[in-house]
Amino acid sequence: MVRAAIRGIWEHKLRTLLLVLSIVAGVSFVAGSLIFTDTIGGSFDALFEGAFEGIDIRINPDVDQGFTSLQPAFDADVLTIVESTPGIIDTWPGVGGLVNLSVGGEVQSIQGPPNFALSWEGDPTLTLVEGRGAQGPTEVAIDTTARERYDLAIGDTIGLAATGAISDYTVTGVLGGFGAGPALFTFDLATATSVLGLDGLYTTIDVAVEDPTLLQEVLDDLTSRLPDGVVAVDAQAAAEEQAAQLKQALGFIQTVLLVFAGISVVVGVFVVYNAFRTVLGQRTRELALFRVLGATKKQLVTSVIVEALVIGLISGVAGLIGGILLATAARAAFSLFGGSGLADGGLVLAPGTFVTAFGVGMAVTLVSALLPAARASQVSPMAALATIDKPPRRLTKQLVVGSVLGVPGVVLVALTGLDRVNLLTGGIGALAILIATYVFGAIIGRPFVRTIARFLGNTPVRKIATDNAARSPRRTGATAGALMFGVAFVVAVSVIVVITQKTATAVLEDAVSAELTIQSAGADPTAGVSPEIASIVGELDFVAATQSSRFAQGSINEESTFFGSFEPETVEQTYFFDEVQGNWSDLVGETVAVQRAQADELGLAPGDPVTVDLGTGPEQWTVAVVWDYSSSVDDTQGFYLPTSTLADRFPQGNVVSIGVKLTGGTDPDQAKATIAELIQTDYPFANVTTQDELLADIQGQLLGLLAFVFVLLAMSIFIALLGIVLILLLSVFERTRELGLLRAIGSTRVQIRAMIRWEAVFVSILGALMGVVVGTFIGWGLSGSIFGAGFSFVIPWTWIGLGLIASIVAGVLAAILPARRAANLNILEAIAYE
Amino acid sequence: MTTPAARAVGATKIYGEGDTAVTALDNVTVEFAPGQFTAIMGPSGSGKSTLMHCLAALDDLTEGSVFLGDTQLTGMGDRELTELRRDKIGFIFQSFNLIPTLTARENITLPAAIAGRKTDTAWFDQVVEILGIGDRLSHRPSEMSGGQQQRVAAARALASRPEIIFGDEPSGNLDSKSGAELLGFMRQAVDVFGQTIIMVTHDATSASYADRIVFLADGHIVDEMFDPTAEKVLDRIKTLET
Repeated sequence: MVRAAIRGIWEHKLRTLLLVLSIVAGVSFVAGSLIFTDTIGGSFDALFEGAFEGIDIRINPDVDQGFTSLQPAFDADVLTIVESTPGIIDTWPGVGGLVNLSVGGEVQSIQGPPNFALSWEGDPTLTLVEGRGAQGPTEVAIDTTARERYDLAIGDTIGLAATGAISDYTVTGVLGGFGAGPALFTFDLATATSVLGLDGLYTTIDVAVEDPTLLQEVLDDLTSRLPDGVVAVDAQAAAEEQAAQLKQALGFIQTVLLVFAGISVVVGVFVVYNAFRTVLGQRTRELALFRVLGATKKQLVTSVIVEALVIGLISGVAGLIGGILLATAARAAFSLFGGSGLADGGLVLAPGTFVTAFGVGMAVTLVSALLPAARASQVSPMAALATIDKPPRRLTKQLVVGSVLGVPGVVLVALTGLDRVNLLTGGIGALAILIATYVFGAIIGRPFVRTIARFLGNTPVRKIATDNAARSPRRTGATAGALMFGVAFVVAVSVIVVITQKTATAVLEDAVSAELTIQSAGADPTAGVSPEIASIVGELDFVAATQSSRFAQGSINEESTFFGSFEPETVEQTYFFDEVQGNWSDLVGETVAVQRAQADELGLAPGDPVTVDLGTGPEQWTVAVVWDYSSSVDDTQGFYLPTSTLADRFPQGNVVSIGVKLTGGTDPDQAKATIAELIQTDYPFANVTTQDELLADIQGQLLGLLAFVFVLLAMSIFIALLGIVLILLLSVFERTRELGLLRAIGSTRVQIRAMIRWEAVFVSILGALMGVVVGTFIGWGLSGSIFGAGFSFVIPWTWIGLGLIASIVAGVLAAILPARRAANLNILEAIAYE
Repeated sequence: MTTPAARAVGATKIYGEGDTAVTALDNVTVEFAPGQFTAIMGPSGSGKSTLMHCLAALDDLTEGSVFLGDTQLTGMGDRELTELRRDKIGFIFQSFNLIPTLTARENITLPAAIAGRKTDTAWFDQVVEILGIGDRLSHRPSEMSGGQQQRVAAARALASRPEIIFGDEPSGNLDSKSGAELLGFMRQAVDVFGQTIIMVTHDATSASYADRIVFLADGHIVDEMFDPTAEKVLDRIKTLET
């Protein structure tokens, strides 16, 4: 029996190849995700191996925001406290913050790790590899990452600016940096302090202790002496912590990749299951003959399982190779987007990856083969003698299973849409709906195909194609169902993205009154622009008002959140509000302006106390204003602080954007040109945009996101198409005599091809339409949880239309191979075929 | 003399190459008169099916040529041959004559439908009536007996008024009563409508319905017989086999 199974694999090479392909795609995706993240993870370990060597303790703000502008600074007096603590032999106070870079007059804008300025005066955390450290106000020493990424050398002049105007600096040396991640630009402490605008403040103090065995005592001592919001941590532990944090972020990437890989694997399971079911159905007589000859049921199952295992094994090997290729491509893409230096070594092939690749390959085929095998073993020896096809089975089971899963699924997703339950519950509901739809595919397939055919009009070719598609409802349903998965995900994501886009543009269109926005020219908007620009632009006679906003991360009443900021003096000139409770003039110092929705949620009104933590410990603040934009705007960011307060707390941070309100009758384009001209020399990192340009920007970014998701989902759609090819091939094989007869009585090859093509198109339209309906509903549901109840729902018609056209094209493509097979059948052999 | 409905000239068909080559037809020349019912007989491997397949534009010759009326089939492309089969030839195979998803009516009108022609309703009704399948038209093949299925196949072959109908053991799978009925209808088609029919069979009784029998053995035509009866045919077969 085993030999018969293996011969079966060999004799049906094309079928085996397609089966393997539909498994390999998913396995490659899984293996690739693992290899890619392991490889990057490995270089993170190397990254922090030598970090913080030579120091024992690092003094940090309580919340360490790393290489961002959100790192709170602390008073320089802390240094005195540290130095007066017994057991300490050396201290290196330092400052750091984001910096903008210009090389050869070109603003350097890259996606990915930031450019970071910090002080370095021989601190042991970094080592000099070339030249010397920077000294004085016109020198900079860079790290190896910066040298490679921007192709710099000692003696080069570069432009740098943080919160002030741009200045030129000469590169004097190269430091062994982290080798990856942020590019470092180091100055002496005084210069760094002035570049970053951190007079009288530090962001870190590194400490060496006299006796490392007493480290814990010194730490405890320091902790009792340091003010609130500043902590002393074990430097080695901190290094490990930082590596762990990066790895955690990496873990998130891995999870996202594995989710998409998982979708591909699941689609693969459906395709392979369907194929096994069909093949075994076709082999009923052969299996019955084995039974007549005395094979036991167990032997029949074994033969199918062996076939599945061999295919699984081949898929595991091929999937591993595919995974390595995918990981290589992903790494290349990663380097392109600024991750250079990371993962430059060899790919990391962990034993776990091997186990997973083979495990997934085998599991997919086994799971897919088990049920059909069990059913096939039930075949009665009598079936060997039967010549008439079994009457089609009733679809009662499908109806029951579909309803049991579908109804609660719809309820859960509907509740999510009304924002009554959380996103996870909605996700579970969505999954239930997807499986229910897959099951229902068998029931709706036949009437659906007939309806479409009626709509198109019945030519004989189309009539036969329709009948064929409707002939085996479970097969057609399952084939279309596999496609439905990918399409549903794509549509759900586009619904969410389109709503996001609408939300974002509604803020600009209905809430922002300022005609121009000044923000970072770089790819990272948090790099911001110099706060000095606002006062320069404010002087212009055609500028009525400017509105600088900053942002911060922290928590309000212990719920973590992002904070925006308003300048109360000009907020009414630069925004449209429907409702303002309280006075904008009260928004000073430690006060918060809360949007209506969030105020209702937390039960806040002007004058109420709130607990705000900006990373330096909880503080008691007051609600100054409760406000709301016009009703068309769903802004999820609900808490705004006074801009001036954030400027005090984060002096090294730039403003994220400056809104510019023009005086009546001023042409925005002309104003934009004048302002750009005015600030270009000193602040090349600032970019002036009109509202229209900003809208286009937002749409462009969201399109990018959408494209990324599509790429990740393309794999599952590809597998589903392989499924269509596979099932059509099996059907052609099954209908050999019919096709031979059709050819004998005068159907042309063109007609036969068209017949198969129509069948494929019917199946792909069925899959796509199910996906569109389900995906739109799921997208609506999940949006409820993401945007809050009562969000304005948009159906992405353009995307849906494109998707349907694409699925028709895909059906036509999937039909090429089976259609060619069908058309080129030898008529005489086909007629005589048993 | 009128043009033969079909003829083969020096028809040779060799399967395979070299040592394994098998000559199925060896320089066969034969003509089939219009309006005649001809049976081709011979033992297994005599080349009778090959001859019919080549005459019916289902297979091509290694050497020689085949004509349908004045049309030379040899050298035609697949598309022309296909259209020829569709428009000028009717088929009745031994089994699996019908598309299982189509009703009897749809099966009968299929050649016209795929050619994009209108069915001749009066003719259709007449054929259906003669074959006695009027009450089966909305049934699918799985709902009909073997005899009924073969009669539907015969109706399909007749419906497009082909120049010639080829039968490949049309009654081979039927019980003797159904077989006799079917052959009776075929006889009637020749007598009443002047239909030309060529049928391959190895059964003497079936062959006795024909006007003429052509005997094949080892790829050669070895004999022929006009106005056969079953006994005459059986006798002839015996002599041929010895």
